[in-house]
Amino acid sequence: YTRFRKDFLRKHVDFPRTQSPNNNQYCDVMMMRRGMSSSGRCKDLNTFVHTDPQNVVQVCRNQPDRAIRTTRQRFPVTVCKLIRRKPSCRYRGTQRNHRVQVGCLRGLPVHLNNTFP
Amino acid sequence: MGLDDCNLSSNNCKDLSSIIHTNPSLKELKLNNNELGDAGIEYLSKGLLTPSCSLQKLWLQNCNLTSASCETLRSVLSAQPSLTELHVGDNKLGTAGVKVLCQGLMNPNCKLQKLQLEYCELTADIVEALNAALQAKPTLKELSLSNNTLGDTAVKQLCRGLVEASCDLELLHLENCGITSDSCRDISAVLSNKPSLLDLAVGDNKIGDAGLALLCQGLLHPNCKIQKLWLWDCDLTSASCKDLSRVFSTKETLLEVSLIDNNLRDSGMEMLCQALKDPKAHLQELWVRECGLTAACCKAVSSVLSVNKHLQVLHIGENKLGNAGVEILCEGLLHPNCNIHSLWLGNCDITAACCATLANVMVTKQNLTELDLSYNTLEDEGVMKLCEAVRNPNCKMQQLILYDIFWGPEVDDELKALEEARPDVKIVS
Repeated sequence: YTRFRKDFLRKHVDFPRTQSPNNNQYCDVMMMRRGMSSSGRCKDLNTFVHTDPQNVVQVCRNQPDRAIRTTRQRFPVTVCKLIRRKPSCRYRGTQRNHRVQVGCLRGLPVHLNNTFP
Repeated sequence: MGLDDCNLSSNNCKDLSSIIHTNPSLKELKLNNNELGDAGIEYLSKGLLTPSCSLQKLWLQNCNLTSASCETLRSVLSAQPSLTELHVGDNKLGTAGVKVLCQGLMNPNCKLQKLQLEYCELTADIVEALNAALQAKPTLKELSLSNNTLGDTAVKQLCRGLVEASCDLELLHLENCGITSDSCRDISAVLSNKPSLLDLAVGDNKIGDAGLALLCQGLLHPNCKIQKLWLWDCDLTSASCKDLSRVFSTKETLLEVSLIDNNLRDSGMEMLCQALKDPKAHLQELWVRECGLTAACCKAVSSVLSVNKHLQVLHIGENKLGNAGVEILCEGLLHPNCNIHSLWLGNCDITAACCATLANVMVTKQNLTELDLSYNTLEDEGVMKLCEAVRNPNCKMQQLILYDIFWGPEVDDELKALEEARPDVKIVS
C-alpha cells in the first residue's frame, strides 16, 4: 500500500487536475510539488493521470502479482518532458486522452508502465 | 527571499510590502506561483517603491496578474535603478499591458538587465514597443519571449531591432513563438552581429532543415561566439546534420546543444559524431533524446567517446538503442579519454541482460557520477546487478536514477539497505 501511495499516487495521479495557466507551467509546478523536480535533479519524463484513482485501481483488482494491465477506458493525461535544467528545470507539457497501463502488486497499481491512444 | 508556491494571496502582500520596506538590504524576492492578483501587486508596490528599497531580482511568474498590474510594474521599473531582473512570465499581461511595461523600460532610471516575458499572451503588435525599449536600454542582457504567438513578421522586426540596438544581448529565447524558416535569415543576422550573444533558444518552432541551414550561416560567422544552442522539436532531419556538423567542428565556443525530438536518425547522428571527433569540437553537453536513433549509430558515438575529452553530458534517452547499442556505447565509455560524468539512457529498450556491462562501467569509470536508466525493463535481476555495483567501494557515482522500473519487494529491501551501506550514492526512484 505504501508503494501505491508513495510511488503511484504521488507521481502519477492528479485529480481533479490542478489549475494552471498552461501545460508547461502545469508540469513545472506539479513536478516540483510532487518531489520530482528540485535543485537540478529533475525527472526526465513523467505522466500524470487525471481521473479518480479508483478507476486505475480497478484494473489491478484480483490480478496476480507483477501483472501488467491496461485500462479499457481512456483518461485525460498530461505528459511532462524535461526541456532544460539550468537555471531551473523547465518542462514541456502535452495533454492527451489515453488508456493507462500499470504494473500491479497485491491488487494495487504501483508502477505506470505506459499510456496508449 | 524564496516564497515560490507558498499559497500566498493578495492579503499577504500587505505584510510582504512591510517586509520590503523595513529590509532595505533585501536583494532577491521570489513569489512565483502564488495567487497574488493585480490587487496583490498594488499592495506590494508600496514596499517596492520605497526609496530605500534596493531589490535587484523580482520573480512574479504565474501570479494571476493581468494588464492591470502593468502600470504598477511600469512605476517600479521607472523608480528603482537597483532592479536588474524582472520575471513576469505565465501572467496574462497581454500586448497592451506589456506596452505599458515597456514605457517603464524606456525610463533612463531603469537599469534592467534580464526581462522574462514567457507565456504573457503577447502578439506581433508588441514588437514596436519592444524595439523602442531595446534602443533605450543598453543594459539589457537577457530577453525571453518564449511561448507568445509572435509570428515571422514580428520576429524579423525584432531581430532587426536587436541588430540596431546598442545593448550587448547575451541571451535570446524565442521558443514556441510561431517562427518558421522565414525568420531564420534575420535571426542569423543577430548571430553574426552580436558577439555578445551566448545563449540562443529557438526550440519548438517549425524552422525545418531550410531554416537551420540559414541559421548556420550566422552560427559559422567569426563574430558569433555562441555557447548554448537550443533547437529541440524544430522539425529537423538528418539533412540538417551536415550543416550542424560544420558548426560542431568549427565553433569552439559552442558548449551546450539540445536537439531533442528531431528526426535526426542514425545517419544524422553519424555525421554529428564525425564532427565531434574534431579537436576543435569543444561541446560539453549534448541532448539527443528522442531523435530516432538505434543501435546502428552507437559505434559512431562510442568512437567519439574514445577520442573526445570535452563531452561531459550525453542525453541519448528515448531512442531504441537496445542492449546491443548500449553495450557498444559502454566500450567507448570505458576508454580513458572519455570524460562523460552524466549519461541519460532512459527508455532505451535496455533489459537485464545489459546490466552486467553497465555495472562494470559503474565500478570502473570513476568520473561517471550520474546515470539515468529509468523506464527500461530491467526487472529485479537487472536492478540487483546494479545494486551490487553500488555496494562496490570503487563505484563513485552520486546519482543512479531508476524511475519507472517495475520491481518487486525484494528490490525495495535491497535499496533500503543500500541507503545505509552507501549513503553517498543517491538512488532515485
